[in-house]
Amino acid sequence: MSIHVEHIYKHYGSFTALADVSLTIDSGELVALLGPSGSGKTTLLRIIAGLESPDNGAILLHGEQSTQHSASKRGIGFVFQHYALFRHMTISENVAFGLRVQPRQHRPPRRVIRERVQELLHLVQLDSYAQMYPEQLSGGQRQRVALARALAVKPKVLLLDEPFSALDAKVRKELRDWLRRIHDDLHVTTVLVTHDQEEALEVADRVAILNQGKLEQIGTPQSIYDSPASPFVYNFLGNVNLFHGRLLADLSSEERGSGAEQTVQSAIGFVRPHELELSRKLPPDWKAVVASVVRIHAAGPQVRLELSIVGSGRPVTAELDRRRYEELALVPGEEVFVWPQSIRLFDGADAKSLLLDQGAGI
Amino acid sequence: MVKMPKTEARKTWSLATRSSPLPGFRLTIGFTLIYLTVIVLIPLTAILLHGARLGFGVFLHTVTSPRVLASYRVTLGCAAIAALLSAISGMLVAWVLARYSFPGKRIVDALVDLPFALPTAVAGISLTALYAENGWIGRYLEPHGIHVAFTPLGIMMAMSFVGFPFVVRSVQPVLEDLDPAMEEAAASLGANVWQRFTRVIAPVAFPALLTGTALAFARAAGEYGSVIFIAGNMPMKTEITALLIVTKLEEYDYTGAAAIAGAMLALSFTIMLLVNVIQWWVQRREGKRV
Amino acid sequence: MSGRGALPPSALLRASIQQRVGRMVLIVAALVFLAVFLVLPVAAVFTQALSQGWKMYSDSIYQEDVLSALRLTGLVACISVPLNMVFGIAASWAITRFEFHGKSLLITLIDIPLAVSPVVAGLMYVEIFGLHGWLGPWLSEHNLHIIFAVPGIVLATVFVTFPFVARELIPFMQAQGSDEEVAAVVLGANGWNVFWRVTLPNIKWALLYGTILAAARSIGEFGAVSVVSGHIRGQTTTLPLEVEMLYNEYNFTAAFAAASLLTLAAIVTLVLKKTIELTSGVHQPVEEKEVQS
Repeated sequence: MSIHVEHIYKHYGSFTALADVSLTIDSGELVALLGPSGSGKTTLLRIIAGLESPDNGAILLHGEQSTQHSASKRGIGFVFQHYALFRHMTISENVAFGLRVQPRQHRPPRRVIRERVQELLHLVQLDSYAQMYPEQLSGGQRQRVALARALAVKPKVLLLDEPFSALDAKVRKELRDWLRRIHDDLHVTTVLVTHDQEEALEVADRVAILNQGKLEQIGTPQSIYDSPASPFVYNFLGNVNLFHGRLLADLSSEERGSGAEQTVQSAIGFVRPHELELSRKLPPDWKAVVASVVRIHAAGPQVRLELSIVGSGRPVTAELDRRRYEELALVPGEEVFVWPQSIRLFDGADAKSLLLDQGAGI
Repeated sequence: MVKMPKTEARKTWSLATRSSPLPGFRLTIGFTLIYLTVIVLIPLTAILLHGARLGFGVFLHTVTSPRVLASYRVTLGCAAIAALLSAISGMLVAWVLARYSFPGKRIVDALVDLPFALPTAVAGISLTALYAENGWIGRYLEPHGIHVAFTPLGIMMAMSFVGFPFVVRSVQPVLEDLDPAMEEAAASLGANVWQRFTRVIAPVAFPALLTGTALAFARAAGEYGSVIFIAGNMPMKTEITALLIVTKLEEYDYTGAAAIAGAMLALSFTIMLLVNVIQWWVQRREGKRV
Repeated sequence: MSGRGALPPSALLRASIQQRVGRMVLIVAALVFLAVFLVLPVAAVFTQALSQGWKMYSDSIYQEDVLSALRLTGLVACISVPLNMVFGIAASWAITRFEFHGKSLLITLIDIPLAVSPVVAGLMYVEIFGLHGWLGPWLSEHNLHIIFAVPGIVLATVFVTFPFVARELIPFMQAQGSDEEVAAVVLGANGWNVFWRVTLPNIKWALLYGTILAAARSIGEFGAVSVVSGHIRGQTTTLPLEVEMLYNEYNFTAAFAAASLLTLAAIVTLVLKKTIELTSGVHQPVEEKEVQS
């Protein structure tokens, strides 16, 4: 079932939670709503669910106007951050709940309910926990029960509100992979709210980034990482080094040293740590910045170096693969040349022509 | 061979199951136990022994004589109905306080404790003034033949007055602690308003309601000051058991008084046991380690 | 089939109007009930007390009997409340900071006065200290009077009020945990230091709260005191007993006048309680948080 979000506005008192947010989620997609606290992502999810109503705008579920339908009538499944399991019911009673509260005509017979519960507990690998109470389960197990409970009524849309943020890192990763696998099996349209960019990029078909109530960008994980639409998106999706400098008109390499440079405007360049090159020798056709090595984090697949630009003291973070690192054999305190392989600018200019101005306090 | 110095962990009294780094166990537990023994245990034992000394037959005869039986009927009967009234009104007020906000809510919340704070004698005389024939409330009821003052109905009114806060203060925190996400989860799973109430809210609130009602009943059954003014105190008709004990004392029938008091204590302990059982059952139901 | 733009306001409002009406009905019902059930009795006390005018009112209060009843009530409170504070602190320290067998039995023992009828409570002390009681003969020999004298009243009041401070402190100290006190011990503090410098500042509001409840109850206790007091006017009559006596003598205005003093004390108690709740967070329920992100 597809979801159309059209021009949704929501405010709480003087605080604007959502301002003119529109997006479309195709049937069977897994979309992540990503953003920092206060960005409006949970509010949007709850509006889609019917747990909140928008001040303006519409929600269409499979083409049908659903904005005035209550949460119990939208055919959605909702998984809460803190599980919201019914603590006075056993695990199987929890999972069966959605089926048991259906109106008499639609309600399946008890036998069918029992089988479905067993089926779902098997899906989430908690078969032997059927008669236990939520209190007796771990956080990860409780969340799996919450998912089983939401899936029991065969919802057309599955909504998850930061489902893994209350769990510790290893469990989070396991459940993340597992959610993806279940999605691939069941093909339910799924919307996942998270503030963890790694989670969103790993799990989702498409990612929508929200900031202060506005939709910044929506696209596949690859496309928003490679082509971020704004500094905010760039910054949010990973580590960034900022280089302040002046923009020159595009010069060929011969013209560069001739003193005929013209400054067009000052700009800020965004460079990812792995896009930086380090060397003891200054490359002939390129100006570089001199930085001293402050700290080296050598544990892990990539080596991360914290550097400090000589003169201004501004920090730069570089990432090298192990081979390059071992070639260089850098030690803390050494000085080294640093330059970017590519820079992203957000005022539309061509990246290569940024003059790295050491004096101007990069 | 070097002699290693003996290190002693900070040991607490042999009662303790685990030694603790904190000081003061002996002092505090000693004081507590002595206090309780002198103030509670010895006096309690005194009454129970006095009753026991009678021998079972005489004891039974005393506590089942007609006047005493009548007082049980009046006391327990009115207390039961009063507890029920407290349960209904207490549930309403607890619900409103826990889930809604309105101007003056804090004042209302403080007001609930009035029967706790108000001396029972004061409650007694003012309730009598209210429900008497020419009282503010009584004058509307009398013409319809509803006599409250000096009848069992009056006893019920006074009893529910003192029992009411027990219900509210038992149910209110439970309702307040209810995770709104649970209700939202139920809604998202398709439950309508009534189903959300009966399947999600009520099962959690019910044990608290039971506890509060049991406490209200216990208080009502033992109540003295608020009841004796409005009751009329006619033996066999509107005489509560507590008053009967006082009457026996004034007649120097210490034995009779002690025997009846023993019976009342049995009731008190039974209710305490009941309340504990309810708490235990709730914890077990939610899977907590008991 | 796609909607565009804003939804007509009536559609959204309809659902909330239903909810709102239901809410209003319940709130009004609760308020009306409370007004009739709780407020009217309080109003009745003052109306009756002042029914014959202010002069009559103040004359009734400045009677010697009433004043000595007031003094006795104050005396009893001043003795029983500090005693029970000490007990409350000791009991909650023992219970919340240590593990030992029989803890739940101890807690149950502390709850006993709440379940026992006040008349039975008074009778218990008569059984021991009365003329025919266990210690009766010994006491008369030594010309000591407990029953029908002030010590008896103090005892009965202590019995009825001692759970209050403990019941406030125990859950509070339990929830706070003993980390700070353990840290103090590790830093070298002895028992009293730990108590005065670490524990007491942390529990002061809960302690005050419990003390106020205990004080209110000791002022107002009627049944237990009635049994042990002997009703000797001017000597062993507390203010609640004086109210009863005046009432039984058909001196209604005076009875309500004395009652009004007690009612004022009750109102002050409620105000203090609520103030402590609101300012210090003791007993405060967690406010619902707005979902913002």
